Amino acid sequence: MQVRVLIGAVALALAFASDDGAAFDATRYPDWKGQWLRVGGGQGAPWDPAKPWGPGQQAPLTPEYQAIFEANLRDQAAGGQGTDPSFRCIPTGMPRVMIAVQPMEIVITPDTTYVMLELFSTLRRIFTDGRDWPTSIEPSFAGYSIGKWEDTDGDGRYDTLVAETRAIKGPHSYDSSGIPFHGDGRAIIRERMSSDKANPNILHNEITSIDSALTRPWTVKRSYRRTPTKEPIWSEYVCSENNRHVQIGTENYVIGADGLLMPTRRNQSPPDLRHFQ
Amino acid sequence: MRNLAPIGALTLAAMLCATATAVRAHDELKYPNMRAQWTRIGSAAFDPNRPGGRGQQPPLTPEYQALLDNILAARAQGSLEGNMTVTCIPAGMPRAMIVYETMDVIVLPETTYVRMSYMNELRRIYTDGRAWPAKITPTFAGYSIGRWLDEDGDGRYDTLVVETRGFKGPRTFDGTPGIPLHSDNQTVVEERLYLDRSDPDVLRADIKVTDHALSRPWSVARKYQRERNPHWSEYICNEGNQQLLLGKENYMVSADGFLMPVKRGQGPPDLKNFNQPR
Repeated sequence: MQVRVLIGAVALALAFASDDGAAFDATRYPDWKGQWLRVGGGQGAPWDPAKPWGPGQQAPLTPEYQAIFEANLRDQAAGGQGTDPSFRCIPTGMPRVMIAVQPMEIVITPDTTYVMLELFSTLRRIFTDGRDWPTSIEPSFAGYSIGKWEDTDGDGRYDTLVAETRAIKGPHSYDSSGIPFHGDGRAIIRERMSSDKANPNILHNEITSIDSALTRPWTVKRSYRRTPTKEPIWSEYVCSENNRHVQIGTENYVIGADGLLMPTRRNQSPPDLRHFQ
Repeated sequence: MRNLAPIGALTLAAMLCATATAVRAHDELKYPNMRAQWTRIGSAAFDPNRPGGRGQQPPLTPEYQALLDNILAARAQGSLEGNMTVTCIPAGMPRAMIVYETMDVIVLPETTYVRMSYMNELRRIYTDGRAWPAKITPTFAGYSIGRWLDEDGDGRYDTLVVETRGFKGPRTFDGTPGIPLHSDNQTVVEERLYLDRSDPDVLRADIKVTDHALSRPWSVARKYQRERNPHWSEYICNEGNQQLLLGKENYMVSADGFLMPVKRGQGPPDLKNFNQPR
């Protein structure tokens, strides 16, 4: 009887805890509040922060896409933009946006984790409500993400968010050097996000890209550091506000300080003005 | 001892309940259920209860009424003057609250996030009790501080009262006709956000704008509909934008990739920076 009373009382208590806590028991989730800034990478913000920018990334590209990458590097060296569309204020998209060139905020709710990136004002929704992949997904630069929380150390609290992202719109590249994704739009990005075991103000993200332009999955480890202030300053990234690049047809130009069109490379022809009388 | 066992068990149970209550960082039951995707009800005029264009009757100062008249005259000629969103500059506050596309609201105790898919504008409304910073970096969305109220006294918050300052410009109240806000960007926007008393799938926003372009504060009441089956899409202004601003002149890039005039008799851009003939 005593045991039955005890079990009944505890069950009652857990039921209350479950009902209320299920609404949102934040203590079940890691504290990732605040503002996060990338750690490492240095000049050029390369995709793999442990390796140099550009060819030094040693991306495992297929021969076809290695050739595209090298042509892109030659174009960039000549003043062009290569395969990187972000100069026209097209979002860098996934997974490149997770370089977090600008600050990042993570908002955790039980059914969705929102990753708010200042760069291009990108919003990622990582659905953790147990949903299946939709039969049809409208491609987007942020992609469609489904996640699952894990309690890897068994302490009763989630510590790791495992996410998979599909349906990423292109063109997109890994970083500013223009390492390209395949044009088939079938890239899959897998992430494992977890706090550093020794320093809760460091967040780790192991990111694996699976793409038809690669000979094997490409895994990189990125980290972010929490800004040590209660009220971090958030800026507004408005790409178009100061962007001097324009595209007319297939040609790229820049707008000079005088407000007039300028060439971006030697001997570039001006735009065709056939529609003006 | 036998009699103490149930008491001990109940004490343990009470402790578990108390623990659950204490550790619950976010008691959603205290807040109204606003977390959803919302779409606009009514027109895309700033005051949806009045006709668009001159029918808005904004209480502009004579100086800004003259500016609006000039904008309307230019628009009649095909110009896009006064509407910076054509070059993918965000609408900013208070125009963002027209909600051209969809609006996400995420309520957490210390911040309510209002995120517009149009131009990807993100508003952070701080409800953590902070004071106004000594210095605010101006933005189109502005800096918002809010406070939750329990107006009907039922023990739950029902109304979010918000004040927004710290703006960047140029901004307009709407897209058409493009009613201007003052260039000093000293705008103050006060809002009351709450669910409709009889329909919790309707969100209401009472918006009051104080601005030096106005002769008195301008108040409007807007409504939004909760989307039960939201469709999330990505609005990338630059992806399909054919508008081009060169100096002070607007042009378009035609579907076949050539520059085009946007108004009758508009001359071509100056190409003196090119040393190559076409």
